[in-house]
Amino acid sequence: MKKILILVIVLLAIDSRANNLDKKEIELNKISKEFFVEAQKDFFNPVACCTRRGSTGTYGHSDYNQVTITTCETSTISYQDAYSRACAKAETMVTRALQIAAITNEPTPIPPSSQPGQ
Amino acid sequence: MSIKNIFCGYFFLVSVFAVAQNLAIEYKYSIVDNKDEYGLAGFGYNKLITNNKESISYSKSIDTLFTVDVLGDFSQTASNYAISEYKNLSEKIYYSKTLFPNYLLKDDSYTINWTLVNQYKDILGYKCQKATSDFRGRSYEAYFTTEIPIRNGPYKFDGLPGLVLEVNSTDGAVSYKAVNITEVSQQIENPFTNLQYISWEQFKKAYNDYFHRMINYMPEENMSIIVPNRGIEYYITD
Repeated sequence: MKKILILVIVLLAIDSRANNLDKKEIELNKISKEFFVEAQKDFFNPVACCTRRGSTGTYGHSDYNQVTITTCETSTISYQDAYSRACAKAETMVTRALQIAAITNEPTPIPPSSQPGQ
Repeated sequence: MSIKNIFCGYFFLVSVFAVAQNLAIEYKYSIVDNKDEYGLAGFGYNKLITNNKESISYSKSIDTLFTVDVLGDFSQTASNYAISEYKNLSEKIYYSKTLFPNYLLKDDSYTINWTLVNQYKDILGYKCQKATSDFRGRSYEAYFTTEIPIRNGPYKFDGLPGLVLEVNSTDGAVSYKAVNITEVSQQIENPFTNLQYISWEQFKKAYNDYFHRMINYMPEENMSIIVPNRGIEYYITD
């Protein structure tokens, strides 16, 4: 009787482990499928990011204006196409962004009466 | 030698010394502040034309390519010297352009409280003494020489009992080092008089508004914009 009980426990343990393995296999299959879909997406619609920086004025002084822009683009053609489009956009945006300082909230100037000698 | 030649030589020497009364100090400078992504980096030269009462500075950048951790790749092209600042040393006022095209900076609140240190070193043949101070967000070590008794230096680093020939911030971000000193006949006058002035506090407020407007500016998805939140001085402290 004792031997039969031990045999049943061993069989149950093996079955439970097999079930766990099945679950893991299913999870792995799911992950690999998602990965494959992503890889397929990356392969057919690659994404590329590009950073461009522009600056004006004297480094570190109050007239220094530095703008760093990163843009990402997706292409249906190739990674190189995505990258060149991202860089072209970043370049254009840097030029525009440097001009924003000119139209930013204008500060209140020092009243003329407090400008001695000028 | 005739009396005429002696007189000519005398008047030549007098006229040379009468005109060549200002000093031109050329500093090699760098700022590489990569503590976080809101830092900045650049290399160049600064030429300070000064006497005891006033000074004018010119700056230029140099051709270089470099990569800085956190900030990434930089490429800068050489420029010619352009006027960058004017200082009235008698009234202790600093004038310069700002990145806001309609306003000039008039900073009359930049006094640096230096502590003299009993350490000396030789720079360009001048015996220089060390001085330390904290100034608007950074700590500095400067070297000045009493052999040139002009209380001036690069940028806003003045007020010591002699000309400042070297300044380094202790965080390693800011560095000015004199590489050449000559006498010049160039006259000095304030070129920043054609626009309205803003004070240092007004500039900081305007920059704060600009900074937040820029980093929140999102013209479209998949795009990020970063501008520095400081220069040599810290503009945004919160």
